[in-house]
Amino acid sequence: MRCGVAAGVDGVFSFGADIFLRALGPPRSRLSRPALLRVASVSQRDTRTVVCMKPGWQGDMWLLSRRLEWQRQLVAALEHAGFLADAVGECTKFLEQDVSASAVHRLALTTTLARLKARLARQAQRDSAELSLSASQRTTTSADSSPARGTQATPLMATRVPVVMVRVAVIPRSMLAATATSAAATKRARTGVGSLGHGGVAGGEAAGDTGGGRPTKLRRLGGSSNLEGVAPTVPQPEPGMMDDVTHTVDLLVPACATSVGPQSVVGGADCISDDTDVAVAADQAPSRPRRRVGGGVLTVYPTVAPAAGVTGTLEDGRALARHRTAVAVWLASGEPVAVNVERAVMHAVQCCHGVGSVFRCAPLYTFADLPRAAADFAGGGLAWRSGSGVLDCLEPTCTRPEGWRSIHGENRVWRALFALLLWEQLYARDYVPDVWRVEALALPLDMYHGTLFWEHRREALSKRLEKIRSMSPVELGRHIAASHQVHAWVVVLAREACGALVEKD
Amino acid sequence: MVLWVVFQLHAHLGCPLLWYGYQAPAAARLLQDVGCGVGGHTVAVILEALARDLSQWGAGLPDLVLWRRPTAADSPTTATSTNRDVKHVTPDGAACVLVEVKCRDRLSPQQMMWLRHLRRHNVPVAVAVVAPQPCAAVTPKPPAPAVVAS
Repeated sequence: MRCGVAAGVDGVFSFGADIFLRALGPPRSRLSRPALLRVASVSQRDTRTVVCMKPGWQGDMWLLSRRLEWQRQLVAALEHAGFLADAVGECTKFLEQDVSASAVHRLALTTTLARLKARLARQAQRDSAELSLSASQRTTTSADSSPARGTQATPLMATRVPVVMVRVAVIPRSMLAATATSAAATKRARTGVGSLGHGGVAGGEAAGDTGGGRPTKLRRLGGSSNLEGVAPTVPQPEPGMMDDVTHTVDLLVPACATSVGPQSVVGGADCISDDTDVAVAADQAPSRPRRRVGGGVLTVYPTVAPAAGVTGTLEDGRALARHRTAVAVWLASGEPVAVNVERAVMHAVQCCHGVGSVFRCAPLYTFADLPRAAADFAGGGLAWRSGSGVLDCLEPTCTRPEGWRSIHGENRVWRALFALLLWEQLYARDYVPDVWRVEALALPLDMYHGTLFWEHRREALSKRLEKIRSMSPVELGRHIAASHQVHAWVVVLAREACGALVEKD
Repeated sequence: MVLWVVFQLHAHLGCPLLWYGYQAPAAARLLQDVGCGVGGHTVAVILEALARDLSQWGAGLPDLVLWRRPTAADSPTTATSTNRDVKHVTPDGAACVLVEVKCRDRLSPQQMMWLRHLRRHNVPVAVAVVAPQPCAAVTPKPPAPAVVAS
């Protein structure tokens, strides 16, 4: 059955395989009745025209949250622009008109209204005080206000966060072989990479060598015949980028990598995460389309000594002018590809935290391959999945500072800990009415609605956070493990990722 | 059949079910390790911000978490004293750093917000700015000796 788009709705919107109706303005409240909403699955995502739809609760939830979000955004925009009185008026209007709204909706508006009114009162008070103050200052002097404003607008970089600049240089393969013999002699000079932060734990003596080691290294690279005339115009870093750099780390990236299969690009296509771009260099092969291959394993050595067991199939390496953080590598088939070095550098920062050390690169971890990361962490060495799918653990050549561990997790680690440690408060059904409208809801409806989640559960959350703060590390780890065990099979990490995906429209 | 089981589990658990099977123990160990390493103070600071407004604070956390795992020689009571010589120490004695790695772009407002927040609560943070400089390597220069005389 084909049906037209409902009135008041401007089109069809899709989240993955599910489609919903999207409205331009605030949807009317009668539209939030489930019988009038439509949800369907599309087989062809490109078709944005007319689809067969049926009533569904997801659309209802979506429109409800959409309406609240729209009103919240309008009020927030007004508040941000300084039109507090208008914001109060709009809020009051929504409260009066939207009589069929849910309790969460009304509570949000009421809370916002109270806050706006308080702010309006404070602003009026401040205005009157400033008026009287300026009137008195005009009579005396008026030069004291500018330094106070200057200190208020202090940017982040002025707060002395240590900023480390990682400099990456690419070593051609031929040079690797030439210098391997003299690696032992120059090792001490080359391990003088700067440390992350303040000289690190054990890197005090290594950091002292940095001044002597770096110019030598770069001069030698400059004399290489492989690099001459290849990429003469590498863009310099932006001037503002270098201003607040407090430390420097030099990394040498040799253009050799492992090859584990016929389809392997750099380190094997199957052993690397998918979210790294490996693109055909546009200036080298303009006819080739940009493509995406699983890639990202680069062998990064702070020293030039090649590690045993790394068999290189790449012919040469050149700096690519087009991408500031990319390295062009030549495959065995003669095909040039550009490899993003960002993740390799990230791994290098992880590994040589604090010291200039010899280490062999491992695949960079994402949360999709936790077993590999865990195996690495447990074994103390580095591992990668070979072409046959077997986990090959290498001997631990990575000499991190003793006891230091690392993970590249961004938000996911903390979201997972959030769900694990605050599970009781997150999934309690009796704090606030109407936030669990459907049993299969992944998160409460007030989760992504500003500070509503906190305000509804303020006492319980504060109590729990205080308890977490006072826990010893061992106790905290035990709590996490216990919570994971209790809530096993409900995928916290994937659920969090899924929730983030669903909530972003 | 499989779909039916998944659907039943879904209905039983009351939440979307995504399968990750054998990864569960590894994830538990890893998370336990992270939590144990960074300590209660850091976890509480971050969780409180997340709980206050997940839509605002839900993104922008630093890329890397580095922590010092207490070795077997350290007893829980002496962990503070063993970390005394380490630079990055939280108020409760755990040694950890949260590192934001920047390559091409600058810090986003959310990342700045997070860094400032963590900094304010005495959680060690750092920003690693990646500025590749192969330009120094490819500027035409007279060939230098291939091996540095030791």
